[in-house]
Amino acid sequence: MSQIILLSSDNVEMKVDKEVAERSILIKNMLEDVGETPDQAIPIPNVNEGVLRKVIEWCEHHRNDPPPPADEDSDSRKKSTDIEEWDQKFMQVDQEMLFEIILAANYLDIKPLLDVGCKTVANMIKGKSPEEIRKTFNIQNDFTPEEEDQIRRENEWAEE
Amino acid sequence: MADSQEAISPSSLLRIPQELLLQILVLLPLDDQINIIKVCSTFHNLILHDPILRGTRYATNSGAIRVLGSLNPLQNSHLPGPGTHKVLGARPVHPFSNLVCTSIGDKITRYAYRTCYGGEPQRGMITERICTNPETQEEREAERDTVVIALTLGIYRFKIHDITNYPILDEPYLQPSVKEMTGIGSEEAIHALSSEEDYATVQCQVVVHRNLFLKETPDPPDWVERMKLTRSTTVRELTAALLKIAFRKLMATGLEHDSTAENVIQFRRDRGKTEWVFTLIHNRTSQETRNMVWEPEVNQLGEYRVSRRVV
Repeated sequence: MSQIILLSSDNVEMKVDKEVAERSILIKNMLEDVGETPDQAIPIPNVNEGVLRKVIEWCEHHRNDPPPPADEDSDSRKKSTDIEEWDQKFMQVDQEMLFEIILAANYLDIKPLLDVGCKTVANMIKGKSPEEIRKTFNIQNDFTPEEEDQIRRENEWAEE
Repeated sequence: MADSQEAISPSSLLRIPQELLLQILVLLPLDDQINIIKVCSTFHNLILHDPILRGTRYATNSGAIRVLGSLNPLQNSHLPGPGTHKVLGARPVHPFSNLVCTSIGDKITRYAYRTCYGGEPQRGMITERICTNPETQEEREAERDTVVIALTLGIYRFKIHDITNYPILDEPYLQPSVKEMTGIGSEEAIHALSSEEDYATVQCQVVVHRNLFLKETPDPPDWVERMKLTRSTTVRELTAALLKIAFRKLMATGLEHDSTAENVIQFRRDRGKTEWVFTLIHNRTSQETRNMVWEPEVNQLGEYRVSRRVV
């Protein structure tokens, strides 16, 4: 099995099976353009070592998965937030890492990993009150006083 | 679990690019969209103004709509039309629809959206009566806007969102994108997009109840109404128009009526039927209004009365 070397943004080299690295459409296209397995490390400038290791871990586990459907509109993945058990455990990380994985999946063009990340965040939002959502994601309430007043009036009834 | 981890500052969620934020928000059902509108201005603007997110607020292939006139290839009433706003019910076969209104006379006073805890309720599902645990503040908060609805065969628990002032009620009742409509060609779609004329109709049976189980109005077809809609008719306009029809019919029957009494309005669509049933639960006196609580009183027969909860 041929291997390639990936170079993280913090200059750490990682040897990866070509088949695993090709879960990333960005890397796959890059390798196709080069035409042969490169001896040099492939720089991944937007992804640091910790995140790249997590992404490679995911790609290793899903190396034999079929490619995602080309027609996104007919894809049921968009309608469900169900996540398979291994992926749920994989995403049990702090928020910083979770969003770094999402950004890396987007940059590296790994759609199934991006989906898992987005579903994880959506599930963290579901069923929560606005205040719970603010607390979970450390979001500041940035409404103007007028908007605040509008929101307060919207909730008067429920708070009677 | 990431959920339980301490959030970092500033919010990592708001730092991700907008296109990724949209990919997350598009996964949220309507009740969570309603909640997240109130979190911050970023979510408020995205939820209300992004066309993709607006599109998620429409059920597809509603059977209730028939497209009319020369720009309507859907003359056959069996063909589905464009989607209707999910605020009236995410699924046509859902035993309850989601919009609940209160009214005084022929004016709507409040709009509420309700969602079911723990997934879709099933007809015939029998559960124990919901008991809320008052030990924690969170649970008390949850209890305050919770409605328990009992059918003869079961009890379901709903959460109520007051959406009276929410702009989602001012979104069109019909899916704005006619390109989504089955069977419409591109030329007709362009014409429809540029036209503000009536192009659809909604068929609605108006029912007035003394309470949910005591119907005061005759069976169809006597009280079935067909309303013409324009492409821009909003959910709020449609609901208000239907109330006026129901109230006019109610007055025509000569039923006893107190103009200060607050009534409850619900929509539902029965399985396999193409028409909405617009139900006005009519309180004849202001005393009945004062007794109204959102948590229903369930009698020995398992009947219930939808009412506003008194905390």
